[in-house]
Order: sequence, then structure tokens, then C-alpha cells
Amino acid sequence: MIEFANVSRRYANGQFGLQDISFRLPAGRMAFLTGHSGAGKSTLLRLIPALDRPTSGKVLIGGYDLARMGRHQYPKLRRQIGVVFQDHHLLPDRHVFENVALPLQVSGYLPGDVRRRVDAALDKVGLLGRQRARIEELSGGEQQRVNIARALVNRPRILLADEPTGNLDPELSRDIFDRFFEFHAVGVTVLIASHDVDLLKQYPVPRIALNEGRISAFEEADT
Amino acid sequence: MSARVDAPATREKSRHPLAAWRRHHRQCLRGTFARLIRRPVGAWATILVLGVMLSLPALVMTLGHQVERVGSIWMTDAARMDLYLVPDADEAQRQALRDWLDRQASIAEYRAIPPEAGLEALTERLRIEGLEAIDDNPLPWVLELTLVDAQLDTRLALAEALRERPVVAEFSTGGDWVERLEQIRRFFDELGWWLLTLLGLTVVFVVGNTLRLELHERRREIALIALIGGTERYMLRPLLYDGTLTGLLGGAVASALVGSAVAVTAGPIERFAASYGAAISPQVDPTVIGLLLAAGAFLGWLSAQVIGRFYIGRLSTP
Repeated sequence: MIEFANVSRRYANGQFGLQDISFRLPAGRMAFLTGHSGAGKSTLLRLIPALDRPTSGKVLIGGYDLARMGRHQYPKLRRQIGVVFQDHHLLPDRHVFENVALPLQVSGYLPGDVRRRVDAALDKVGLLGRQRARIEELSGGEQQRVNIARALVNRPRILLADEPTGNLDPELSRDIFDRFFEFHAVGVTVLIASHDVDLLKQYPVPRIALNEGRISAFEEADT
Repeated sequence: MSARVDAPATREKSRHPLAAWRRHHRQCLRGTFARLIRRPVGAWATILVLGVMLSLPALVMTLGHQVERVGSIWMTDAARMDLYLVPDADEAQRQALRDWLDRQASIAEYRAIPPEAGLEALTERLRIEGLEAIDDNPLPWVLELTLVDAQLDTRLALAEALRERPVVAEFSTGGDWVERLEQIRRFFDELGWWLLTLLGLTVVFVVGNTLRLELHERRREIALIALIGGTERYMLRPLLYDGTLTGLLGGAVASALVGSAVAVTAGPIERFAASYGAAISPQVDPTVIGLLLAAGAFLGWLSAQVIGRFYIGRLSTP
């Protein structure tokens, strides 16, 4: 479960990234975070894996207040959260397999298990035959799928995606969103930030609309 | 951590912390060598600078070691002492002194030279004929002492005790300049340690700056590893290997430089020693080499700890 209780994030220049945000996303549910560029979507997502801290309010993951967590506890929290970024965050000097294997190696998995899990994750995103490909050899859509495979290879309980289809054509965007739905279907809590309203309308998922750091609307899923 | 995320538990029990820890150490070591090969100019430039900096204190220490070796040639002189008795010392006084000397633990042995024997030796040494004909021999009884060791403290303690014996007119402590050499050696030693501390601090900054650039290049990777749950120790480990290996190689270069300097100066030192009838073959003290390697590795590791913890902490935590 992800819960925000009166969360605000104020920057050093006095401007608010988020103001008085409160919402609750139960475990295993999926939601979209919408709003124009600069509305506070990325700021909100960064608070969940403790990449940033709120100025006030509480962020609770599984009922646990992140403000009470020591920095030595962050790694364990982050291993339960998969994050997909718009700009991929892939390591260009390593090939596909090494990029996807990274979370497993960090978590201390045995090489055999790493191989098996990476192959399974690449299979899910349709890149099983590209393990040895260099990142620069891949198209934008393929890079994003590697990004998703890396986010999921550790079997996270929460999946966060920040504009995951920002640079992709509509068909590929739909393909990526379909995959997120598949993961949601097996019980992963999914929160996706996107400004692509037309794409989001195609999915029956609750939407949290942000505007200038505040929640401007909370729309239940269209059924 | 007590934070639980209430989603289906799908995690396998296939993680082995110790095996993973060993595997990561091996990876870090391989990675360190790979970076050394990939960027030979930058890496070796730092190593050479470390080598030059570490070699300076080592050269001073080695110089002190050579001074000690030169002094050791005459160390036997420093373990001797001559006592000149008052001219009118009678047999009873001389016997009392001998008894006292027998009780001194610092004296290994002694030899009494009567005035007649002294005059004979003087005649022979100076090659002046007729000295033996002098009726009134002016030379006193002399006692040649051999001490158990040549330590300054031993000689000073004995000299103090001898000053309280009225039968002893004078004595030579012997080896005064050996003592001065010892002082010079101590000076070089202390200077060497002082330089090692000062330049060691500089080494920390030099290695630290190289590692900071390395961290800057890898900042995306570090931020990513932090995001996927890498611990600070996990992120710091490659840097510790880089720092330690750089420092160790810097120590090896310093050892080679000191060895070369000693080899170059060996000839003049050998000739100088030969002019005093001694044979000295200058060499680098193995302790200095060990110190250089250990100091280099430690300083490199220390740099990595300081710089790594500072920057990784900033890159990985809010």
C-alpha cells in the first residue's frame, strides 16, 4: 500500500513541488498520475523509493513511515520497488543482459538464478534474443523494454513508471502499457505518471490529476 | 527493516550473502585492473606522482640507515673506555678499583697497562729512541675497559660512577662521534617520518581527487545502483579497490625509485668506507620497502573511504 498524508515538498528557493498531497493506493492496485509537465508527478514518484524527502507530511509504504527509516534501510525498501524512467537510465557501456541483471547482482543472487531470471524478464518484454546486444544498438522502444525488464527482474511489489512512453510512438506506447497491466494482474502495485491523456483514457484505471503540485482531481476508473 | 510492502511474496530464497560478497570482491578486483588497463595514462600518472612523493621520506630514512651502517663500523670503539689513574695511586687503591670494576655489570672485561708498558708502547708508536731511558716515567696506570654494549646510556652511567672514584684521574668515554652519528641518524629518521606524514596527507588528496573524477564519471551508475537497492558499502567497494591498488603501486614505484637512488650512490659510499678500511655495500632496508607498500596501500584505501563515503552519500540519499 502507498499512502500520502498531507505531503508537501518545498525547494530551497521557496517554491513548492508538492502541496498537501493525500491519497491512498491499496496493495495490488494500479493508478495513473496525470498532469502537465512540472505539475509534480516526478517529485511525487521520487518520494516513494526515498530518493527525496517531504518537507512535511507522511509517506507510508505498507503502513511504514519513511521518515522514521534510517538511510541504511533504504536499500531494502528500494529492492521492493521497480522504477521505470522516461530516459531509460541504462548503462551504455554494458550489454542488455548486464543491465537487466544489475538489481539481482546487487541483491546477491547466484549466477545461475541471475541468468534464469534475466532470461525470464527479457522473455516477458520480447527481448530474449537480444541479451548480448549493446544498448546503443537498440531502438528507443527496445531500450524502454530493457528498462522495464530491469525494473521487474527483482519481482518488486511496487512498480513506478515516470513518463514511460514519452519518446515512443502510439503503438509502442500501447504495448508498454499492456505490459504494465500484465504485471498489475499478478498483484504488483503499479503507479504510472504520464501526461498522455489519450493513451490513459484507453485503460480503466483510477487517475490522480496533479496541477501545480496539488491534487486537482481524483477520478475513479471508467467502467 | 520493519517496513513491509503488502503485495504477493514472490521472492526466492536463492541469495547467499557470503558467496555474493566474495563474488563482488572478485568483480571489484577485476574491474580495478580493467580500469588500470583501459586508462593507462591517467592511472599511471597518479601512480608515478604517488611514487615520487612517497620516495622522498623513504630516501631520507634510507640515508639515516646508511649513516647507522657507517657508524656501526666503529661501534667497537664506542664500546671501549680508557681510565687514567692518579700518578700516586698505590697497589691497594688499584686493587680496590679492580674489585669495584669486577662488580660492574656494564663492564665485560678490562686490561691494566702499567706505566712501563705504556712507555714502551709509546716509544714504539712514536719511534723515538731514548724514551725508555727516562728515569721518572710520567705515564700513569691505564685501565682499558671493554663494555658489554656501546649504548650511550651505559657509557653515561659508568662515567658518572667513575667521577666519584678519586683514584681515577681522567677517562675517555670513547666513540663520541659515533654518538653524533647516532644523533644524525635519529634526525634523518624523524625527518623521514615527518615527511611521510606530510606527504602522506598530500597522497590522500591526490588519490582522492583522482577517485573523485572517477566517481563523477560513474555518477549515473552509482545513482542507478542506489535506486535499485545497492548499499553504500556495495557502491564503495570498487572505489576501495581502486584506491588501495593505486596506493600500493605508488608504494612499489617509490621502492623502485629509492632502490635506484641507492644503486647510483653505492659506488661513492663504498669508496668512502674503503678509505677507512671498511666494506659497506649500501642497500635499501627491507623495512623501508615494506613501509612504503603498506603506507601506499593504506593511504589509497583511506582516500577512497573519505571521498567515497562523502560523494556516494550525496549521490544515493536524499
